[in-house]
Parts: sequence; C-alpha cells; structure tokens
Amino acid sequence: MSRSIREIAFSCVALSMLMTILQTQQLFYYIHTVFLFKVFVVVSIVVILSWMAVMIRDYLLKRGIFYYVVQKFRSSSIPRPAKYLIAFVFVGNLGAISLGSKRYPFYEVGMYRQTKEFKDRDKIHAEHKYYYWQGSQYKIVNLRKEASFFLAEYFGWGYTADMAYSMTYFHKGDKENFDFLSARMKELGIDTLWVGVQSVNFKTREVTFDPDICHAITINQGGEMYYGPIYIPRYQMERCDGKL
Amino acid sequence: MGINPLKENILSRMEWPGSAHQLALFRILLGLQIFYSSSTRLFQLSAYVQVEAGTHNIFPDFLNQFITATAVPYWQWLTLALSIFLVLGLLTKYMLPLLFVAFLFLFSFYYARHNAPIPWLYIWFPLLLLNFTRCNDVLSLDALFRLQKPLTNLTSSTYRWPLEGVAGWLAYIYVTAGLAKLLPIYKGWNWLKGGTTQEIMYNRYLDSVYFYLFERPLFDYTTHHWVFAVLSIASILIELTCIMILLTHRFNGLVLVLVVGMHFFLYFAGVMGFLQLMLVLSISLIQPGFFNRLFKEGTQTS
Repeated sequence: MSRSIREIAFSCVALSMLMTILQTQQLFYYIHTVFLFKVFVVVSIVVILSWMAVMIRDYLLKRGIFYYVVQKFRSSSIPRPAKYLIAFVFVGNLGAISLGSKRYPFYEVGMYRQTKEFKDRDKIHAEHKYYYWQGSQYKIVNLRKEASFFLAEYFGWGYTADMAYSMTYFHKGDKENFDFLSARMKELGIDTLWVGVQSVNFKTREVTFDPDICHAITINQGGEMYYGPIYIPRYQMERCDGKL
Repeated sequence: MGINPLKENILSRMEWPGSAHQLALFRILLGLQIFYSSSTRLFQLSAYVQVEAGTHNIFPDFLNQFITATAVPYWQWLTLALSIFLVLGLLTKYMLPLLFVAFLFLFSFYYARHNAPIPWLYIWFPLLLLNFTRCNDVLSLDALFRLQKPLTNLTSSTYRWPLEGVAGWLAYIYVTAGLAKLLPIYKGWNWLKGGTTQEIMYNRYLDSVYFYLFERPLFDYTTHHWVFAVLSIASILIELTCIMILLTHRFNGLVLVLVVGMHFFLYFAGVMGFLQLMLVLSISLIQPGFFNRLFKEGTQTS
C-alpha cells in the first residue's frame, strides 16, 4: 500500500510539472528570460524522465499501479467495443487536460481557470438592464431570473440557464439579441423596451435603478461594463439626440 | 474497518452486484435532462445572432458545414423526439446510437456559438456508455412489450459497470476542474487568493438569485478579501475530493453533499446551470443496495 501511495504521489508531481511545461505559452521566451523558470524546466525534465523510466520498468516487470489499472480494465466485464471507446475518450481528454486546451467534445474543464488579480473595486457597481413602463411604474426585465422555474415572470419553457446567460452577457451588445427579446416581450403585450442603469452600492448595501435613458447611453459609451456595452435601441438613441 | 483501495477502487467495483432499477432510473433522468437541454431556445437565438465563439471541435470542415445547416431545423427536433424514446425505454437498442449522434452534432453547433461546457460535458459520455448497457431491462416499454428480456438476476454486475463509469466521469469533471485552476503551477497560487471568485460575485451580483431573493448584498464584496480566498480554497478542495470516487465508494455520500453544497452556493452567487446536471449524474454515487431494497430486486421469477 505504501508503495502505491508513493507511486501516486510521484505521478502527481511529475504530471503537474509536465502539464505546467505544456501549458506555458511562450515557453522558450520564459526559459531565456527568467532564470528561476529555466531551473524549474531543467528539474522538471529530470523528474519527468525518471517517472517515465520507473513506470515503464514497473510495467515490464508486471507490477505497479499503471500495470494494475491496465490489466484490471482489460479483464473487466465491460463489452469490448465499449472498452475501446472508453480508452479513446480517456486519451482524448488526457490530451486536452495536459495541453490545457479544448476540442469538442474533449474538454479540460477550465471554464473558471483564468486568474484575476484581487483589486480594490469601486464601491458602486452599475449594470444596464432593459425595462418598460407600466402606467407610471417602471418594470425591470431581469433576464437571468427567467431561467428559474420559481422566479420567472415573462418567459417559460425553453428559457434555460444557458439561454439566460447568453442574452445577459455573451450577446448583450448584439442587435439580434435585442430583437429576440423584443419579439418575446411584444407577444406579452409589451411594446417598448428601454435601457436603464441598475447600481449596487456595496458599502451601504443598497440597490437603486435609474430609468434615465440618456444617462444609460452616456454610461454605455464611457464605462467599462462587464461583457462590454449593451445594445441600445435606435429609438432611445434618437430620443436623446442633442441631450448628451 | 479500514479502507482498501485495491478492493474498493472503481475498476474493482465494476464487478460488484448492481441494480437494474438504478440503471433504468438513470436512463430516465438522463433522457429528461436531454429533452430539457435540447429544448432551449438558445439554438434559435444562436442561429439568429450568428456570432461564432471561436471554439474548435474534432469534426472535419465539411461535417461542420453540414451540422450548421441542419442543426436547428433537424437535429434539435430529432434529439427531442429520441430523448422521449429514451425516457420511455422504447426501441432503446436501436434509438440510442441515433440519439448519441444527434446529441453530439446538435451540441457541436451549440458549442461553436456558445463557449460554455454545460450541459453537453455532463451528458455526452454517459449517453455513449448507455449504448452498451441493458438500461431498458426494467421500467421501460421494451420490457412491458417483451421487446427486451431482462436478465434473471436483476442485481448482476452487468448493471453495475455503466454506473461506475458515470461516477468516474463525474470524478473526471470535478478533479479536472480543480486541476485546471491550479495549473500551470505558478498560476495556481494566484487563483487561490480569490480574485476570480471576487470578480464573479462582484460582477454578477445584480444578476444573481441571491439579489433576486434578498435585494441586498450579503457583505461588502469590495473588501473582506479573506472571504474570497476561503471560498476559492474550499471550492478547489471540494473538487479535488472527488478523486475519492475512484479509490473507494465509502465517501460517496460526503462527496455528494459537498459538491451539491458548492453548486447550491454558486447558484445563489450567479453561476447557474450546474446543479441540475450534477444531480442527474449523482444517481451513480448512490449504492445499488438502496435501489435493490426500494424495488425489492433480486432474482426475477417470471
């Protein structure tokens, strides 16, 4: 057992080093310019080659975890075609993980792998949202809320979490996205959508909404918004002509 | 009683007794999930907006052109129809290969325009595995109409290996997600400091379930940096804990609670879509004995 634990630990270290090298963009640039990185690469190569030698030796001597896993898998009761497909998927995913890349359907599950620096952000965070008037009251269309069975107000079946995400972030700047939303709202009897600004003050923990359509345009043009500026309909832009 | 990974690892467990009803229940839930995921109007939106996400797939160009031209009008409806067959367990043996191809093509179109791995990452491999299983032996129209004759022993290991395969897939998803955040090694430390977690919670606050329900942030997201570091470290630890699935089945309950808890928190923080998919695959983490007792499974006498 202790031998197996040592083998697993050694494999983890060697594979981490291998993946670090494979996933470093501009590898040779860093080797030439950062001395510590050069040392890391040299040490890594020694460790990786030693690990490979040990693995191959153990396999030839019919011992070790790698040999055990291969033999156990080969002798399992899984149908033969399924075994080949599982092996194919395993190799495909291993390639994706090692290189830190993805090629559908093989994936390195790195959707949140980007590193963001911790920074002192503004106390006030603003975001554009579509809204409409109902009498003298404005009603905000919270697009992501519509993906919840329990909270949805306007949409129904087919408006999934990925759809809500796409409309709120990915395609927020596209006219077609607005057309799609606008068509749905018209079906519900809501003719005109405007863009306003919702803000949260993290210091006071208060949320406010500013329905001023011209102020929304100003912020859209100047501010650094999450996923970029939102699409503002032409009629709103025309309404604010000369006021900006 | 000590843990013995040599006897309890996922490959050994594939030879242990299984449950025909557990496998059938997984088939039904996966079918319902495919129906739900394939009915999204994101396909129509993507076709209308026509913005490429810059992603790549393994298919040749001519096939991609074919898929692009046929995805929304044909593959979506075919996938929806076939997923109903999967839920009902009707003509399962003939329908499953078709459903797999339809799903793979349809979500290739999806991924080309929507750079996100949900829902297809959770579904495609379990769906592939089902092609080689007897998932329609019980709780299916095939069994009702005697199109499929069940095994005499409904606790055979024939029903076990597919679900262990699904459990292995679950482990792959979460362990790899954890590794992706830590690798390359020199970047992992920065991730653990919590800047990414803060960015998500800060920027998505106004689009989060937490805001919709409570209308005030829990605390000042611009300060309390240690909270985000703790959340980041906890998420990595939970994801890496999933490796236990490969070594022993004894911590499956703990793994399930931790991962569901993590997704529940993320759901409130504005990262939606994962919880439901995880719950479908988590059927594989429940011990077959539970289903055997529930359905009073054993040797079929009829």
